Amino acid sequence: MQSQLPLIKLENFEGPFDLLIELARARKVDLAEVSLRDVTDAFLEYLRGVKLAPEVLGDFLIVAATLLLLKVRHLRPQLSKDEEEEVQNLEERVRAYQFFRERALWIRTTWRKQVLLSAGAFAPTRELKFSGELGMDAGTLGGIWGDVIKRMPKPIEKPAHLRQRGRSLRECLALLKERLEQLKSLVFQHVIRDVGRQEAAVTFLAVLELARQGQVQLSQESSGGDLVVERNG
Amino acid sequence: MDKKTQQLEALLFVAGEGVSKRELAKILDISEVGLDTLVQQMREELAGRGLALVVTEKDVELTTSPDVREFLAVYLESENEPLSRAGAETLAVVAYKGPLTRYDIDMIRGVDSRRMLRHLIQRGVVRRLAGQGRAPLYDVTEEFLKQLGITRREELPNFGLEAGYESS
Repeated sequence: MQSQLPLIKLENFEGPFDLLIELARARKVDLAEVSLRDVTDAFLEYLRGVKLAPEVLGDFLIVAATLLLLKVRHLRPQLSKDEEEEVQNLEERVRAYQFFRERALWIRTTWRKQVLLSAGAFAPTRELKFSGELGMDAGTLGGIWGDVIKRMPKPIEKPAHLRQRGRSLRECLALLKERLEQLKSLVFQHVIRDVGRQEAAVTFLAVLELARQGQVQLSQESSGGDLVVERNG
Repeated sequence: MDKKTQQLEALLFVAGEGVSKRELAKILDISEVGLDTLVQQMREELAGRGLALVVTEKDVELTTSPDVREFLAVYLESENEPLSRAGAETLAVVAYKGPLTRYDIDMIRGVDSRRMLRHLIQRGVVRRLAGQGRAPLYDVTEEFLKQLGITRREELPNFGLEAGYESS
């Protein structure tokens, strides 16, 4: 008979194994002691009651199916060899998962608490002193600097009304999304082929933003090679 | 300390970050096996000092010693981007069982780890390696070790016990 269901929010679970372990803990027993069969009903009850994202639903359903096999085994001891394997497999996998879950907790609490540092991690700013070893005096240095300035291109004052506004990040994002809707994947270098430097930079930022949001995948075969932007899903 | 070890120490100091074993061996003009011996030697020399070597399968990095972690922690800005549960879980699997394929990671976690692996790679704590077969392998980086204040994955608590947990 089903004891009172523990109040656990399903959205907090990292997956079906996580849920199984939490259900066992809610009964205040070690998963090693309670068999998976005892939590099967609670597991299925939760699946019925909650709306899971499609990407994870499959994972939960696979485990639910195996749990049902477990129940069946209890009622009718003779399972086929495959079914028997699946059941044992699940038990082992939950045990394994529990091990990593505990390790994960340690990692999470220890993370960045006391780290090892590399050279210069917090080097105080040093005053730059002129080193006599440069082999020249201030006059020579000044002359060199003068030459450098002469070589610099003069900034062209564009009349205000002629200055192009250029695309904003939002516009680039919208444009990229539109193209990806149609094409599924595109090559960044082709996208920026005919645009100016500023727009190329903004487009690049847009690509990075899409990747950060998880909407696209980026890949590049070799350094400097084609940057492929592929729509996710 | 012999000359090569001395040179290794100098190289790691000026690098100021992780250097691949392959590159170190090349610069020092020794085999990678020879490099491993030097690294081991250096580790022993550094015992009890304020510095240590962080070593993974691929890289070596000269860092502060775990002995001074607590002391230095006072000076660190705690810009703590905390680790999510899913992130810590994925890292646990990769750290204890790596290098391994994404399939194996998914099997253990029971969920799809693709997105999380990408995120962890971006954060520089996981790296992707070419596997001998078609599937790439994933392993933790020296950055991962540094963030936990350890110099080798063997220093992870209960390391070795995970050996019994094979993927199906």
